[in-house]
Amino acid sequence: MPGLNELQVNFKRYLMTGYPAIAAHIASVGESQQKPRLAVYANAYRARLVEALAADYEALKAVLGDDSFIDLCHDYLDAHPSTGFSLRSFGQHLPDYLRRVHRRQPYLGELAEFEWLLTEAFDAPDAPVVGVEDVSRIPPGSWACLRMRLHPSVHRLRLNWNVVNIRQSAKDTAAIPAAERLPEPVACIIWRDGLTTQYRSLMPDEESALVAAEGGATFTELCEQLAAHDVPQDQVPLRAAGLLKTWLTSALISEVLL
Amino acid sequence: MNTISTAMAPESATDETPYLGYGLGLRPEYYETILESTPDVDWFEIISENYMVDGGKPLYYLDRINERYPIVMHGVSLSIGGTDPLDQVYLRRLKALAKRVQPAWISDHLCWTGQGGHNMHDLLPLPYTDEAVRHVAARVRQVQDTLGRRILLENVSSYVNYSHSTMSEWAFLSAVVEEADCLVLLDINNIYVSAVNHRFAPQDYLDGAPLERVQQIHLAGHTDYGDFIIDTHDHPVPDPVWDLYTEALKRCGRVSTLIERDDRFPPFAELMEELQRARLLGGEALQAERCQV
Repeated sequence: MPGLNELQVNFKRYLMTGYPAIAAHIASVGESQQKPRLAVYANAYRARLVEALAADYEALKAVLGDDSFIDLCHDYLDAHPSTGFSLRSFGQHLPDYLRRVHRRQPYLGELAEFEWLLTEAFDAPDAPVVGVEDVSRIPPGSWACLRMRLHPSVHRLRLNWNVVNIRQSAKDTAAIPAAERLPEPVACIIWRDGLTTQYRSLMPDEESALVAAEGGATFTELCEQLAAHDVPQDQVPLRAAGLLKTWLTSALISEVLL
Repeated sequence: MNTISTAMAPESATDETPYLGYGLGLRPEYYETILESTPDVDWFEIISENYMVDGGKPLYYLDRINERYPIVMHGVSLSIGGTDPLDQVYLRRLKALAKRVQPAWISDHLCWTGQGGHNMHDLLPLPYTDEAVRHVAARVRQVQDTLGRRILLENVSSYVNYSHSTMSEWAFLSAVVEEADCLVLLDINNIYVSAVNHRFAPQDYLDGAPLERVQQIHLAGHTDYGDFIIDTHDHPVPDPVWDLYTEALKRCGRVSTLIERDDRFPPFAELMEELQRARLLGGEALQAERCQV
């Protein structure tokens, strides 16, 4: 008679690999066969995890097609079995997994990363949002030392492929465009504005300024970043103020520190 | 004579767990409908793990719906029958969620869900042995100590039985909840599914189950595969499950009852119709109980 732990080890091994030792401990039910009964569990195990990945990686599934996506999910499940108490975190390694395993199709890993960061932003921690009016009350003499903290849902990434178009087409259930390398890499941010997950591209000077802000730079240091991007010296304060206003109105800033 | 009623439940149990009436599983598909129309549902049950997140839509809707309705928390990852140590991170998050929600009660399943650090995300069957009774009961007591309250354990559907089980499923359930001093969430559909799959009479289950500890009932639909049926929660509650519910009410008296739907979501009005059917049956059972007293 197997102990409880041995039984669970064997059952898990069956679910993960098909190794049949557990069948020796399953009782027969009338004319019913054990095999299809055990297979209910094996099928459910894989189906449930494939379903979780399909919910997180809708565009990737559309690009690959159902059969290839399921094959990918099964391979991924073998490489990264779920260890979290929730299915929410199960797909977290898929972008890196794709980059390792599908090196000849680098856009797949990039598309997966884009989709995963949308998921991350969706339920990232709630935090206050600073508005334009809050900042307008700051005395002009204090602006030079102003620092800001970005909303915890903000993620940055660099895109080399047209994955934004691919994802949008998948969402619209339109024809999926062929993967194409972009003429230049494009910086992109993903965040949550209220309850709505958002994304947009960044101009190179905005990317530098946002990276600086994220790293705790003062408003003066942020202006220096802009100046390094060939923004004319007399236009730097205006550009910096414009960017700050954009960030404030789109709920990117959670706190300003003086 | 029908002598079993909620009045026979342990006194402390009724103190902890009020009668809530007729509820539905809270699912994202219905968030807006619930907030816009404030439907005549007495309470909602959440899947605890779906709200163990840091922010965003899930918690936003949970808080707003919780302002208007009582909520109970129903977990799927406690792995109370597992042989890995209890997941303390999970328990801390469960306790934190309970602090936020202030649920009427907290439940999970009489099963195991993972081993060796891997989560199978399924409600896997336990052997019905004395070893398993002692193992599960000890872990239930740990969980109850951590949460500072008694929990409800739900009977699961199963598709296999172990050859070394030494007792019936209902005897196992009774032994566990007695030894752990916890409460029961009786899933009527799961009794029906397991009865078909393992060829026993569902009435035998009701006769042998610890009905005095039942604080909640689940109703749901399933899918028939001929030789066996699977607990899919993607169909309306079928007639045999309604019939068994009626049988259970005759034995239990009124019990807080919830209809689960987890796939092929119908218009909300269809769930309300099912809930109304449960209400009518509950009312009839209560009437019959009064006549017999």
